[in-house]
Amino acid sequence: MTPEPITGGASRRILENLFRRRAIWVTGKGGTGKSSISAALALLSAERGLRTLLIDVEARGDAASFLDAAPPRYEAKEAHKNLFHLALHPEDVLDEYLKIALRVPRIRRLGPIRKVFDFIATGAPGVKEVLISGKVGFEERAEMAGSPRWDLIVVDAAASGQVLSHLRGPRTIQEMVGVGMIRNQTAWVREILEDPEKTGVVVVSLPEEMPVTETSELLEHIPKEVATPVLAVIANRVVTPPPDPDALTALTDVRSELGDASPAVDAAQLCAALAAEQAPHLERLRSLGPPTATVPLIAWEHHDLAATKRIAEALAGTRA
Amino acid sequence: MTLQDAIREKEIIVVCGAGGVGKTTTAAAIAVDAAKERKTMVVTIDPAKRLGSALGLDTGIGHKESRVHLANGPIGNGPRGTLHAAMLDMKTAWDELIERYSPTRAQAQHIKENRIYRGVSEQFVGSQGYMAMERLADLHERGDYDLVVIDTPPTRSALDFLEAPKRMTDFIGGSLLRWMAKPYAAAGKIGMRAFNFTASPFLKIADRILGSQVLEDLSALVLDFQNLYEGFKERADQVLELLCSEQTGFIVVTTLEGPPLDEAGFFIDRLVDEGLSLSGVVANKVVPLEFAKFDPAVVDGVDAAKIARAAGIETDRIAVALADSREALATFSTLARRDAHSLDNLKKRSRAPVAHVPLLTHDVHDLDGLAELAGFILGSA
Repeated sequence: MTPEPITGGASRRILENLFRRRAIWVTGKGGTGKSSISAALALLSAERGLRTLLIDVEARGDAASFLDAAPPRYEAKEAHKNLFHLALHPEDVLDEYLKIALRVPRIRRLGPIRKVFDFIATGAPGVKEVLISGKVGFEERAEMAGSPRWDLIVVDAAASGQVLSHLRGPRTIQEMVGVGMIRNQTAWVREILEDPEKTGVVVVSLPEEMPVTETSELLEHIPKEVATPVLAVIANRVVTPPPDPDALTALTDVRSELGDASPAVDAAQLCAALAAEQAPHLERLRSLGPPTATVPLIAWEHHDLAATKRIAEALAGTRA
Repeated sequence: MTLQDAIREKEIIVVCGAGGVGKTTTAAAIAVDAAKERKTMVVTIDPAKRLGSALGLDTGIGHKESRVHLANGPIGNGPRGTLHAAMLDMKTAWDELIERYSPTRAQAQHIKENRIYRGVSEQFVGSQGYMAMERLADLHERGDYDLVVIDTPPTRSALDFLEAPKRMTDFIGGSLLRWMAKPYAAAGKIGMRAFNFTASPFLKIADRILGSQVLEDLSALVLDFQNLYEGFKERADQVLELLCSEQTGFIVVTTLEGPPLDEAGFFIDRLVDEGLSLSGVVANKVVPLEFAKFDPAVVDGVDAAKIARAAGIETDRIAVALADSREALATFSTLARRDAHSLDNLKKRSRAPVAHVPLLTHDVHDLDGLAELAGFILGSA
């Protein structure tokens, strides 16, 4: 039942597998830390010299706050060397789509056409989702001076409940729309999104009942709906059990001898209790199929770049 | 004032917060406690399996209200208290709504067969939020319960459900929609082409992009919805009025880290701005705050050899246990400082009581666990 130690090797294999793609979609149940993991993955990718784009699919820009940066709009901004980021506002994406795909002049993009599209994007299933996945696909295909503009795109994607509607957005549209321009346009988005060599999914989870259950359900649904592979499950905030439980028990028995240092034993006991509670859930998470990386419980006071760097170190296995 | 005092007079409690902070468990705990005295109903969105089972909500039960028996539990039933629980099933909720507001059965059937409706009823933005509020109003109106506690769906933003009733009526009754549906209405025959595409340059573009099939389905739906609009609108107004009344209290649940905490702060401010009644804030998974005052360096002064003699094991092993304990203290003292600071900020920001639930080393999945949790939440622990 004892979790494997956090070894660089296991994580490194997983990371190699992620970084050779063109885009990875990072999802997970709310509260599992997918934004901080997305930021950490993007940081690791940029540190390797890959030109990286971090896309927040929600305008709020949670991932951006982990890079000490305000979420930018519309145009990707360089936050650190090789690391660009962008927060998606559906209305901006719609505007860009109307401009590029339809060559609708700006003045008319603001008028009734816009209202019609706002309505359709709100009402018709799949339209809003395909705007998001279409934008990711668009960036994935973008070129600069004859070569791809981005080596890797890390998507801080929607929570596990909604991510599938994004990934299968092009399919939804294709099922609904028999003809029309959008059908052709979604074809290439779907090709990129569902090319297992180009795009993959990373699921962030916690060793707790609900997050593991949601991860398991998502892993079951993904292959039924899209061809995009799940490349890794990341177990976040894993508490390491005591290396020598008997020694901890012995130390606890003489707690009073420790004086000022006695609270440290209480902290170690709390860790031991948490680790024991997590163990069966972690076990279940590891049995789900995809390779599993673990990130230990890291204490950070502020969600900032310093916290992200520590998460990145843990992911890369440089922090044992 | 404790949170218990703050909710004593309430007839409706809406539990909200970011995803994954423990809303469902908090709602269930509050309901279990209230059921000692009052006829209580808890509506949850997606309970963990074991918690759901504890509330009699096994999968497949759908929309039904189930009586939760407390008699054998430690809480017992008060003289008139009861507990019921129900889950929100989106598809059933939508179909019921359509049936309620359709003037004829044929109309309801026509809507339910529309391809876009089938997609909309599952995916429409904020529809889960709307349905939660709709269910709430329905339960309140029936008057079978003294208190209804409702869990809110995990949405992009915890605020979505507040806007859901308005968004729903805007969607159904928007002038734009009516304008779009006009050609169809004029034609007056089901199955006729919905739009005169050559007439409007806007629809020409829409047609180029989406193709006419989608526009036809969409306009058929719009037209059907026209007949439901008055009912919807009236209902949405009632729901909003109910949410704004003194009978309703909001409880914001959060953990004390990063994004969920930011969202809780935003939500508290927003509730106050809207004139809604904030009954309390629940901070979940709070690490023991006393760790905040310890410096892990205190461990460095410990004489491992001496402790090892007292403990009767090898010095090496004690040294390992000490190093591990030092690291644990470093982690928890940092987390405790963060949590203490965040709690202070929450207290400054909220005029309502702020309760905190300690980080538990066990999952809450039965009535005993919920009762224990209620003690922390309501301030009686």
